[in-house]
Amino acid sequence: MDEKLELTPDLFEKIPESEKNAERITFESKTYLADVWSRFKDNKLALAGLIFLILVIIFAIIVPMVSPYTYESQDPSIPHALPSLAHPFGTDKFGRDIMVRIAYGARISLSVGVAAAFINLCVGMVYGGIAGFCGGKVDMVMMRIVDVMYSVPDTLYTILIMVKLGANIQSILIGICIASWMGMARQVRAQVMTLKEQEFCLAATVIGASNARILFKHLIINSMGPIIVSVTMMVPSAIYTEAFLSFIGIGISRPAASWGTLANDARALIQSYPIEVIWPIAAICLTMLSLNFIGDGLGNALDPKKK
Amino acid sequence: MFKYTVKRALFGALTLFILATITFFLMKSIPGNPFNGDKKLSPQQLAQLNEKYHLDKPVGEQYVLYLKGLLQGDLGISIARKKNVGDIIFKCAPVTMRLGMVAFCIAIVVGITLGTISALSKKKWVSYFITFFTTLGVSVPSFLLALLLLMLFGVWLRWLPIVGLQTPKHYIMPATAIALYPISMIAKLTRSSMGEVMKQDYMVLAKSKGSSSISVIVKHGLRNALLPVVTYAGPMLAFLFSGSFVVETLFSVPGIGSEFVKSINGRDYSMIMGCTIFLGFLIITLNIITDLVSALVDPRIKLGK
Repeated sequence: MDEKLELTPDLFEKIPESEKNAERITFESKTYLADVWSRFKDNKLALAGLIFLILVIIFAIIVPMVSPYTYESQDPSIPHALPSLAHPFGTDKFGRDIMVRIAYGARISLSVGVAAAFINLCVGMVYGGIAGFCGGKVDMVMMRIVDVMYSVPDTLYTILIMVKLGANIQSILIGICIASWMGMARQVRAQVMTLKEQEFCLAATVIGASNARILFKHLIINSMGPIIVSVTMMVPSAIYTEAFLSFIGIGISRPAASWGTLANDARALIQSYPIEVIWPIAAICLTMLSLNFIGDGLGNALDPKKK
Repeated sequence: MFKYTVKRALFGALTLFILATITFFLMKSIPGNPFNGDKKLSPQQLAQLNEKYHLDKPVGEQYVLYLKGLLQGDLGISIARKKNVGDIIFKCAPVTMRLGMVAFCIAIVVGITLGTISALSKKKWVSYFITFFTTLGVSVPSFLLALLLLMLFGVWLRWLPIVGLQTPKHYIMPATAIALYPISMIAKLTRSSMGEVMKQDYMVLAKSKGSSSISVIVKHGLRNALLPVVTYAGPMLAFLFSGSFVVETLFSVPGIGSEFVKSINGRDYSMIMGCTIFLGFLIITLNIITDLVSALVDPRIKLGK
């Protein structure tokens, strides 16, 4: 191998101007959130759900502010009025404006849904996180408790708690949360169990991070994707539970009204004034449907494997 | 297998015991005595009644007496109805179960058909439509669907009767209302597992051996794809048997669901306790049976591991 490699200028040639940037990365790099959003908005149903939900929220905020009626102001001269310009959704048996009552109902139902999902998230995250992180005996005892509670349908717990605490928003929230945090706890635990074996966790331990920091800063943040999806799904199920409780008469107490109470009130008059029952039904169904579509869409968007 | 069954049964009994305890103390902690509202009673009669129903004893002793009664199958006495809670439950449970069975059959047949069609169909709009329908089915609460059906077919069109369960025609609306959710769940499950199964090598093999496509789909495809459905069928049956509370109330079906709602509204505590414990028992038992059956059907499931 005595032969030397000779590099003379004529071995090289100038590349044409057009190929100069051929190896540049032309894609603009995207942040994770932008990526999620671009996948989310490709899903037409999910996008429609999101738009509808935003409209409902705007409706719930604006209508009671600008409307001349309140949810309890009665006008005995116009009971059961059909939809008109003054009352776009008509009035109920006391002459109360149904549109304002639906908007107030939206405030109650949506806040119950969001609050219940949030409390569930917190409880489930701490409980499941600790169980999964500690493992061993602690995990076994904690998860057996979850198993016992999980094997009884949550409606039973919620009803019992409502009967005990009385009909108001706080007890609905307490009832829903006591009855349904177990699913979240299980999910968080499963996530934490798989993640804590990974290298970044070991690395954090080696650097000297405290257990609490590893759990909340690394493990839970990394398992956020699937958890966000189930939180989104929890909102419609809490709205459902609240509507159900109000519908059987142990939910929100009068004269305040959630969608469930409105549906229940209108049910009694279904033979004579069927149109009044349409509004709350449409409100509950469409909202739950759009939340479910959003949840599905988020599930696909947050999971890069499903690209 | 035997060991696992015993373990599950013991665990179920423990769950039921805890449920009974929670229910008992929650109901007892509500202030007031069922007879206090009754002004016709003299103090003497009141004392007699309290003694008869052990209401004069301390709560701890009442609890022991209640548990003893439970072990003998005695659920106590409904004070509002002046009847034995067990008798009421055993009179209305069969009604709910009949309705539940009808809804169960509808859910299985329709759900599996929809799921299979959606998995096999080459046309995009078919699976798109079925996805939309199943999401709708999961989102629309059964009581609102019942209300809609009632309004449409009962009040406006007057095609179907709206009260009771006397003839097969009476079953159509309540059973549909209860079955929509399970239909959608089964369709979703079947669709995803059928999609998985269709990709397996043995499906290609069966086709290349020349079996007709229907026989391949039914014999090799569905048989394997239905395992998740079997697992889901148990809890679903429990859900249907425990009665959709409101649907029964709406259609005036004298089942356990409407009894439960009635007792909740009437604050009939011993009836609430009885119904809760009965429903808990039903659901726990059916869940255990499902797990055992799914292990029998699918030898790949190893119990207790």
